[in-house]
Amino acid sequence: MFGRFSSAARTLTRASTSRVFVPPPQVVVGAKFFSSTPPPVDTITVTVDGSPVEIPKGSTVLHACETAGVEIPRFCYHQRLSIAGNCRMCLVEVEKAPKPVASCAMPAMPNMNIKTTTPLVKKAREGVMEFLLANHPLDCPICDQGGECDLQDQAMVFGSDRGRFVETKRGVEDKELGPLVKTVMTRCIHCTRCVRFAKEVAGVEDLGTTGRGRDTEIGTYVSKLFRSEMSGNVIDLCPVGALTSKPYAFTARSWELKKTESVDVSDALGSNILVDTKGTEVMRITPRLNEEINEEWISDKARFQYDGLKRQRIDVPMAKAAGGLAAVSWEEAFEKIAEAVSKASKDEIKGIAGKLADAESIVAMKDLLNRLGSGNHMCEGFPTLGADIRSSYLMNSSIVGVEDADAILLVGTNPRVEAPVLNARLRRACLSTGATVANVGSPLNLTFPVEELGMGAATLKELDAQSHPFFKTMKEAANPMIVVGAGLVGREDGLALLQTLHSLAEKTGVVGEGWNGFNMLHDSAGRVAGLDLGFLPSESAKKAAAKVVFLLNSDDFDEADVPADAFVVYVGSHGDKGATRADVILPGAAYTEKSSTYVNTEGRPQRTKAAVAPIGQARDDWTIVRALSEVLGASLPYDDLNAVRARLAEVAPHMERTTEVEPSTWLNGSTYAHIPAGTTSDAPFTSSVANFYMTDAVSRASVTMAKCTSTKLT
Amino acid sequence: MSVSKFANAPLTRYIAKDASKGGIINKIVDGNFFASHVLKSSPRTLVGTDDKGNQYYESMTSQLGRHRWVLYSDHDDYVDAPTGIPPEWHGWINHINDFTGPEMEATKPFYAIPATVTKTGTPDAYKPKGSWKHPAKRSWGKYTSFCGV
Ligand code: SF4
Ligand code: FES
Repeated sequence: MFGRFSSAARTLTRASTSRVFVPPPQVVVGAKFFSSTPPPVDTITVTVDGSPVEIPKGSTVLHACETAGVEIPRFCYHQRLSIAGNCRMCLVEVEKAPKPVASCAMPAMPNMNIKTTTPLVKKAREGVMEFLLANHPLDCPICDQGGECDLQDQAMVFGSDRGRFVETKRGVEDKELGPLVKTVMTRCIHCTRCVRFAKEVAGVEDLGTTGRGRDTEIGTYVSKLFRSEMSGNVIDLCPVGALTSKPYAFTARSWELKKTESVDVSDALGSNILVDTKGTEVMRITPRLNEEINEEWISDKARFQYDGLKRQRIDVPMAKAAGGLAAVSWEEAFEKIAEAVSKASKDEIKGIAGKLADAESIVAMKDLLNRLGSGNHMCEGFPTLGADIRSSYLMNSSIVGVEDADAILLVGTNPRVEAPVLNARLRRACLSTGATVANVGSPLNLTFPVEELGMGAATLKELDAQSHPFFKTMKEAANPMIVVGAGLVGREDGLALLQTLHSLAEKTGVVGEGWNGFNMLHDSAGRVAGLDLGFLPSESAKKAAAKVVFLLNSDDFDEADVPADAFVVYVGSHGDKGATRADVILPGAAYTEKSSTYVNTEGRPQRTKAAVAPIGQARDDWTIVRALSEVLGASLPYDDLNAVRARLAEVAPHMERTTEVEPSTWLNGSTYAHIPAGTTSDAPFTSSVANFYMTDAVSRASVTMAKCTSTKLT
Repeated sequence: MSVSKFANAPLTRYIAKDASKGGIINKIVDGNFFASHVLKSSPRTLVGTDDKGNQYYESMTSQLGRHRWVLYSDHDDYVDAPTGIPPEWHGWINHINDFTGPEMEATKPFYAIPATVTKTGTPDAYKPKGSWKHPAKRSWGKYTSFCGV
C-alpha cells in the first residue's frame, strides 16, 4: 500500500544523476488539502540537488523535491491530510538555513537551494530513525504490517545495524477501537495520521493524542469505539503496524498475496479495490487509487465484508424436494425449470435483477426473456420510474463534481450509510468551500452541519412553490445540487415526487450551462447497469401475473413482485432471502470470482476481475443464463465473454468504454412534462439503507459485519 | 518397541496395555499396591468417601506427610489419577487443611458446577483454535455452503 517508499529507497541510494525536468502539474495537489485557495497561476523556480525545477507558488519543499523526482522519506505527511510536521523524517538541507528543515511543512521560496544528498541530511535522517526505533518494539516477525511497513522499509535505508539504546522500552496499553481495527499501541510512532484522518476525512472526533513526549499516546480519550463507516482506512494510513485489520490478523503475510484489481459492489459508487488472495481464498480487500471515485478510501463494508464470501455459499444446483431444498444435478435443475416455463406464457415469465447483478448476466437474461416473448423484467427497488432518459437516474454532476456544488439538497437519502466515501466528499464540499447542505427527510448525522428542512412531501412542495427560504439559497447558488436517494425512488409516490423535484430543479437552475446538479444516488451496484440496458417492464408486462420468476442475484425484492404461487428460480452466490424463496437454485459466482461489468451511480462502467475461481459447481452468472436458454429452446447467440460484451456494447455502447463516464443529455423536464401529476403521501422520506453493515447477500453473510452491527447497537 | 514382537501373546499384550495405563500389574510392579493395601492396611481410618466412590484414608501412625491417601474406586485410565479427586477433598488430601469433603461442601459457591476429571490426554481434550488437532484446521473446506434452509 505504501509501496512508494521502496522506490524512494532506490532514488536515495542512487548517485545524484542529472534530474529530468518535470513540467509543473496543471492542477496543484494542494499541500494543504483543506485549503480552499484556487490553483496558483504563477510558478517559482527552486533548485533541488543542483537542478532547477519550476513549481507552483505556495507549494512545499517536499513537493518541489517530488517534482524534481527526488523521493523524500516521510511518515506523517500524507497528501490528503493536513500537514502535521511531527515525525521529522523528511528533513532536508536548505542553503542558508541554520538547521535541516522539515520539508513537508516548509513552504518553498523562490531560488531556494534544496539539497537532499548531503552528509548532513543523511545524518539527520539516521538520527530521526534511531529515535523512532528507540521505543518501537521491533516485532516485525509477528506484525501484520511486516512487508508493507513504511518504518520497516525506511529502517532498511536509514536504520543503524546496532542500537545505542540501553534503557527499557516504554509500554502502552492497546486501545479497543471495535471489531475492525486492531491496535498494538507500542508500535505507534505518533505520526497522527489516524487522528487527522478521523477528524478531517471521516469527521468523527474520536481519536486524539494524550500526554507529552515519551508518554504520548494515541487513543480515544475515554474508552469508546471508533464509530465511522470509513474507519478501516486508518489501517492503510498507519505507516507502522499500530493499527491493523482485526479480521485479517495473522491470516497471511503481505508477500504471499496475489493482488487483483477489481471493483467494489457493496454500494453504488463502484470504489476501486484490490482483492488480495492466497490460494483459493480472499484474504483481504484494500482500496485502489481512483481520483474520480474513491480517491484512496473505501468504506468499511467494502473492506471487511469479504468473509461473507466464504459463508452461506451456494455451491451446487438445488431444487425444492419434500424436506426442503436438496442438491440436484444441473440437468435435473434445468429440466425442472423447462417444465415450469413451458406452462407459462410470454409475460408470465419474469426476471428481477438484484443488487449484485452484473451487466453481462442482465443482458443475457433480458435477451432470453425477450426471446421467450416476455417483456417482464425489472430492477429490484426501482418500481415506478421509466429509464428512457439516462440523466434521470444518474448522478449527473459526477462524484468529483459534488465538490463544486455550493448548495446541496438531499432528498430521501443518507449518504453516510448509502455511500460513505461520497459523504466524505460532501463533507469536504461543506467544510472547505462552504457549501450549504440541507436535507428533506428523516434527520441525519452526516458528520457536518446539515440544515433540516422537513420530513416529507410537504416541504418539497413548499420549496417548489418558492415559499421556503432554502429556495432562495438554491436559486442564488452558482452550482446548486439535488441528491435524490434510492429510498425516495422506491416509494409508491416516487414518480410524483420526482416530478416536483424536477420542477424545483428547473426553477432553481440546478441544470444549466456546463453544470448538471441533478443527482440520483443509488444504493446498489447492479441498478444502473440494469436501467442502462432497459431492464424494465414493458407496458403489457405491467399487468401480467408472473408464473415463473427468475431472480438474478435478487434478495431484496418486493414481496408483491413475486406472487406466492410463482415458480422461482434463483441465480446467485449466497443463500439469502431469494434462495430461501426459490424452487430451483443455480449457483452463481460472487463478485470476486467473475469478470463482469458494473455501472456505478454516475454511469461509469467498470469491470471486476476474477481473483479466485468460483466455488464448487458455481459458474459465471451469464453462462448459466446462456445454458438455460439452450434448454428453454431460445438459444442465445453468444458463447464467450467477448461475444456477450459485444452484445452489451450493442445494447448500451458506453459499456464498452469502461472507466469513462458517458455524458448524458438533460431531457428530464420534457420527459416528465406529459406525465399527469400524481398524489403524494405524507410518510417521511427515509434512506433505503437501514443498517450500513448489512445491505446485500454478501454483507449479510459476513460475520465481521454482524459483529459491527451488534457493536453499533450497544 | 520390543513389545510388538510378542504382540500375539495375550499375556504380553495384557501386561503391555496394563503398564501403559497404570493398571493393576503396573501397580504391583511399582509398589503402589504393596504400599496402600499391605503396608498401610492397618491401622487406618476411613475418613470419607466422595460421590465417585474414592475412599480417603488416614493413619496417624504413618510418617507425617504420608498419613493421608486415597484409594480410587475406578481403575479407568484417566480417572485413576489425582485429577479424579473432587475439589472438596483437594484441601484435605494435600494437607492444605483438615476439612474433609463433606465439611467443605458448605463452602461451595452457588455457581459451582459438578467437578469433572480433566480431559487432557483424552480424545475429548480441549483443542485451541490454533491447534492442528482443531477440527477447523483438519478440514480443507474454505467455505461453508448454503444448506437449503
Ligand atoms: S497509530 Fe499509526 S497512524 Fe496513528 S499516530 Fe500511531 S503510527 Fe500514526
Ligand atoms: S513528513 Fe515531514 S515531518 Fe513528518
